Amino acid sequence: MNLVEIKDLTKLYGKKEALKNISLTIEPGKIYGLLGPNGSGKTTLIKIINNLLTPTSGEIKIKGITPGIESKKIISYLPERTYLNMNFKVKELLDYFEDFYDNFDRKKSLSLLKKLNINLDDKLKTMSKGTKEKVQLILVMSRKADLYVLDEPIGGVDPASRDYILETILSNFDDNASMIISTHLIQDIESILDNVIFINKGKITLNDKADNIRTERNQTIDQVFREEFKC
Amino acid sequence: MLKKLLKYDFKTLLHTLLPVYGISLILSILSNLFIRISKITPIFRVPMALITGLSILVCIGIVFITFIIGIVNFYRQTVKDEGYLLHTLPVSKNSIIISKLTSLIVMEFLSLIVTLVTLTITVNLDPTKIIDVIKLVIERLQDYKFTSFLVVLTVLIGQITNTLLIFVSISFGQRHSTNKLLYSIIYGVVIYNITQVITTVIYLPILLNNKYVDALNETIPESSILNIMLIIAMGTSLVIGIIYYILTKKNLENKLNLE
Repeated sequence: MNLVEIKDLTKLYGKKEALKNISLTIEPGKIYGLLGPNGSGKTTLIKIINNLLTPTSGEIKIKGITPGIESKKIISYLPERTYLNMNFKVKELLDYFEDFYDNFDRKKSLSLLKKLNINLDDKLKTMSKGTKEKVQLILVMSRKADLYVLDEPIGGVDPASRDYILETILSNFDDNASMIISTHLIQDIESILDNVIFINKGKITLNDKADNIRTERNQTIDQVFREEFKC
Repeated sequence: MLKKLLKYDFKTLLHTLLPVYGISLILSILSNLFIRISKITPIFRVPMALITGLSILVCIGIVFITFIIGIVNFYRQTVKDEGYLLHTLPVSKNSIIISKLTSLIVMEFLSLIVTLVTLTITVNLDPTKIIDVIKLVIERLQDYKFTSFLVVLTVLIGQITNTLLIFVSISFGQRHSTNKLLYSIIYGVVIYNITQVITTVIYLPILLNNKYVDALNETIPESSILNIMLIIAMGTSLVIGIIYYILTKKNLENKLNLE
């Protein structure tokens, strides 16, 4: 069974079509790169998967169910912005995640936080943007979810920390789980991608295995992206 | 899950409001001290007047501050960045709205108690005298037990409806891509005025009925007439509150538009 099945999905904002008849499947155990220029529809698609938006028409199923309370239990989502309460200490955030998500692994998060020397008593508002993003990523990756949806997970962190974050993503990733990563920093993540989805003007323009794309075009995914979306 | 939401909503509200309540308490104690000292040493009369004035202002403002902070929290956690967390928790929209509403109403009640306590300290009232007054009021209301119950219920439902008016305005305002706060205020004004017109139409038969008008002019109105009027007011408020609630839920479910 596919983890995510999307059929003829359309999303309108007034008269503007943000997504146009998109059909897509996400298989278990794979990492997908959702790539496209600004305003291409990436975030709209991610929001629909996470039940933050309702589609205008078409169908979406997560493990056979319509997005809602049950799908939220199995999707671990990292938005592109700081979305946690800034007044909370790190340990309070762990309590929060533990309270609401049955699949949250506190031990795993503690070990990851320790590796990064993040103090449990520090409040989020006292941290740098990069550290906040690391805390968010650790919380999200400490859930034993079926699907991880990461929107710009490395956008705000320094290049030196990106390797650590990618390692964190991979080492905490269950074989049966899937992941959708949306980012502009394709070069940094392309080595971990199994599949690549290009989206532009609300339509999927490419959906294939990363290796196939590289072999057929004899280019890196980053090069293909730059060529495809050249201004 | 509602219990967990309530736990964090109270925690967030108390985090901001406890320092405010603390400052109010300290000011009232200082005011009390200055009143006593100024009686012995007149030189302290000016600072006494300043601190007492400030203390009374803060005391009176506490209920308003509590309401504003509650609304800011709702706005921040429901339609701004923190909404990404709240709306991806495996909880229903009903639980989210009920939790926000309950925590705010309880905190408003708590703020009333804080106001009474701090005012009592500020103006150096004898607590036993206040208890005597409360006892006297209860004694006088013995013949109006049901009416008193209706008054309390009407005030409570009215406050819930007023809070839901703000929630529904925000839920409509957030549907716009820009100026969400401005649109929320505009929706608030529009919805409030529409509600006022509808309420006036409902109350019109009462206002034009001499029996009710005459009853209100009495020093001690007949309880049965008062009860009917209270039940109508409460019922109207309840229906409006339910409509606000349903609209808020529908907007958060189907028209959520996080930035």
